[in-house]
Amino acid sequence: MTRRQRHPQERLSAYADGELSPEEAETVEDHLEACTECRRELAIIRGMGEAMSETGATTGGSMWESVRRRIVGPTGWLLVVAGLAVLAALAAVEWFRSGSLTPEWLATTAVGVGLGLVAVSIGWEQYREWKHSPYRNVQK
Amino acid sequence: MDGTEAEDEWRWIRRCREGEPGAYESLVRSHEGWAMAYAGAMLGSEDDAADAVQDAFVRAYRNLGDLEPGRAFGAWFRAILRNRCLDELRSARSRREVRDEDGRPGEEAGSRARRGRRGRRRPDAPRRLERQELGRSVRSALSELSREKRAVLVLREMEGMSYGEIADRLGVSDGTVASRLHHGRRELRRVLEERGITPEDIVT
Repeated sequence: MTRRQRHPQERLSAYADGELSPEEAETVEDHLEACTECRRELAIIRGMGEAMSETGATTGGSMWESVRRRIVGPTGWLLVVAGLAVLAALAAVEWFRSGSLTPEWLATTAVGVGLGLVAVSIGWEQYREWKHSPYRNVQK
Repeated sequence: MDGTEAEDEWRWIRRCREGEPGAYESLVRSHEGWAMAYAGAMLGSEDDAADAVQDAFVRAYRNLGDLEPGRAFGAWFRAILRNRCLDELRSARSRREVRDEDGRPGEEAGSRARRGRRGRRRPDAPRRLERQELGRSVRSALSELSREKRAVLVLREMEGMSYGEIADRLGVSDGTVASRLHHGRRELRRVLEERGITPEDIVT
């Protein structure tokens, strides 16, 4: 078997990647002209590479919910902590004012603080929506 | 990506930077398809890929401030995901080495067992595969290759890196990259044939 007839093997892979020197590439090209088997091999190498990059949309659901939980997690806890702090402060004021804390007072105040926080977060969202609205500066 | 898409993306990025996490959804949705394909091919497991992609999205969100104005989010995010995947491959290798020293079954046996469980879900390869389905099959077949070969194939084929760039990323010589690519491609072809995917499916 002459040198030209020998299959280039590893060099064929490097040729497909454009990583051979011009001289080496020419040797491979000479071989390719004469060898159907290596032309087919090269087409398979290229086909597998192209297929690997064929990516469509995800087949399953989006991972947005999982990502969102991780990036907003601390804010949710901050709201809870803020709510508890407000409740504790109100309870301290009530204790000094009347000298006692009834379960009814605590329950009512806790609900009130919760509703207040919900209202604040809705207001904040509304404000942000307004701030980023593309029609904000459009005159009616 | 054309100019309008890039501008749209930057509008979302600015909103994220101003403290609006919900604005990140659009970025996650437009990049997760490619990211899952990439990480799945690199790590050889969908579960590991989902973890890696999620981590990369969270890391990118926390570092959005570092993204220079006008720069494409996609390329920047891809580098974050690549680092996360390569770290995972390195740590998986060190875990395997520890197990092997203990004389217990290595990770390769474990991954074979996982593949066995998943095997029943693998569809029979139809005669003419759609290109995207072929893509999924090829990436899935990568899971049977060693980590080293998977990494070079993915960096080369999905990122279009040169041998020099791959060698730098992985800390090996150009010759090693060439050899891993050559052997990796042969193995990949063998695995595809075992799974009923013929050269005709690949070439057409």
